[in-house]
Formats: sequence, structure tokens, C-alpha cells
Amino acid sequence: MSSNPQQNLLRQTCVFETSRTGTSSRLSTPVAETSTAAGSVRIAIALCAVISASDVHASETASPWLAAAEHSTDSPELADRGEFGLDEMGTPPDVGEDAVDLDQMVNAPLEAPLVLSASDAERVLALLEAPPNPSPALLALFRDA
Amino acid sequence: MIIVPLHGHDRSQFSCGNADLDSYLKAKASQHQRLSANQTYVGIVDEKLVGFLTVTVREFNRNDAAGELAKHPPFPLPVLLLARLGIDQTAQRKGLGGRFVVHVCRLARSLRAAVGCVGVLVDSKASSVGFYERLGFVPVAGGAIGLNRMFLPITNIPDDTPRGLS
Repeated sequence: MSSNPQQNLLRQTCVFETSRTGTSSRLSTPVAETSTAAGSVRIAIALCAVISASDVHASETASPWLAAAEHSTDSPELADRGEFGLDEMGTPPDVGEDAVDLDQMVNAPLEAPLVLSASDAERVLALLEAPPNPSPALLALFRDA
Repeated sequence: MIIVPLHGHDRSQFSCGNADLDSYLKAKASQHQRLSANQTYVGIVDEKLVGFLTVTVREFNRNDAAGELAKHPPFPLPVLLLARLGIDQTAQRKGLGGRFVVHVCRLARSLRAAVGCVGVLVDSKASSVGFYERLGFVPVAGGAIGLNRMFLPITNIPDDTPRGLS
């Protein structure tokens, strides 16, 4: 057992969760609704998933946000098997869906991370600390939705 | 209009007037979604796809070169990015864009409850800045070339869940 109390806690709760459910799939469920130690582990796993998703920095020429699939181009064997051309059910592409343009993804410019200046960071934090003040227009949209 | 995750919907007739957005929806959206790189939702009216949006998770980072802040916030901060939004030309000017924004706001609320989220980020065309400002978005520096980066803090998103307070 590690001398680090936090590591010990994590290890113990993982063992507990695994033995309680009998499978590891339980650990991949979204987020626990409890505040138990086991719940904390699941939350940590969900956080890791979010961080992994947000660490992808590929982009497209037209809109630099969403070519995150660049990582997929590191696995040409997937494309060779035609998996990019199949939908979730393994059927051929939908009408209008072309095979993925791997070259475009590979050549897409890298996107800069979202960096806030000190003044913007201060402003964002001030907004988050301020009392809720939704705009009337947004409230109206929620009422009508 | 109902808004549902993209899943095998016919996109062949969709046209929002922006070739890049049309192409993305038809050729790449489901591919990216399958890789879990982002999530696309589509709006359906009378079984016709009338619009779509794509969201993903990003992080706000602080410019370290700008010096220490008075407070020491836990940067990076997770934020939900409204990355793409398109309405079919046959359905434009009917308020559907607002319905999509509400959907994104609810997603941000859910994300906040699950793993934390400080708000919604969008890179707006100049012609849409007024629309987002009316909804409470504020400009922040950055953004892709020719676009205006705008941020809606999570605290100003109404909580319309049954236990919501605002």
C-alpha cells in the first residue's frame, strides 16, 4: 500500500467498487449521484474523459474547432478496414455522407488553446462569482422552448 | 421541433447557405461523433432535418505571461463550446436558433452537475454578435480569424430543472 493516503484511498475504493459490482463496466457509468468514496472515483474517471476530449487540438480550415479526429489518422488500419464508412450499426454510409477526408484532417492547421488574458480571466471569474443574472431574452427563450 | 442526437438521419437535402457547415454535417459530423470527438444534435420538424448543432468540451487557460491574478483560480476551466450551428434555409427566421441555444445551455447545466462547466463559448459571426449579446454572452479575447469569441457564464443560464431555483 502506498504511503500516500490519497493513493491508498483511490486504490481501496476502486477495489471496493469492482468487487461490489463484479465487473469493471460499472466504473464507466457517467457520474455517481452519491457522495460516497466510490462515487468520487467515478467522478474522477468522468473528469479524465473530459480532459482527454479537450486535449485534442486538431482543426479544420473553415472552422478550427472540430477536426479532433486527427488522432484517428494515426490508425490507418481503421480506414483500411472501411470502418470510417460504416455507421454505428455497421451499415453503409447514410445518404450524403462521404468517406472521411483523411488528407484534409492531416493537413489541417493546429488550433491554439483557449487562453484568457489576465483581464479576461478576471472578468470571467467575476461573472462566475456574481449572483445569477440571466438576460430577459434568454429567460424568454427558456419559457418558450 | 424536437432536438435529438444525430443518428442515421438523412442530411442529403440540408442547406443552411454556408457550404462549410453543410459539408460538415453531410460528410463529417457522424464520423467525428463516432470517434467521440464531439456531439452533433439535429432538429426535426415533421420528420425533416431543419437544423443542427455540434458541441464539444474545451478548457479556458490563463495567459501565464500576464502575471498573477489577485485570486488564484483553478485554471484550466472546463467550458462547453458551441462549435457549429446551422439552420436549413427553409426554416430560417423562425426562432429555431434560439431553441438550439437553449438546448446547448441545458447541456452546459448537465455538464456542470456531472463534472463541472463554467459556461458556454461560441465563436460568432459579426452578424450574430447582437443575437448572442441579447442572450447574455459577453465578448472575450481570441476566436478564429474573422469571428468573435463570446462567453455565457453558467451562473446566467436559467436552471429549469424541477429543482431549479431560477
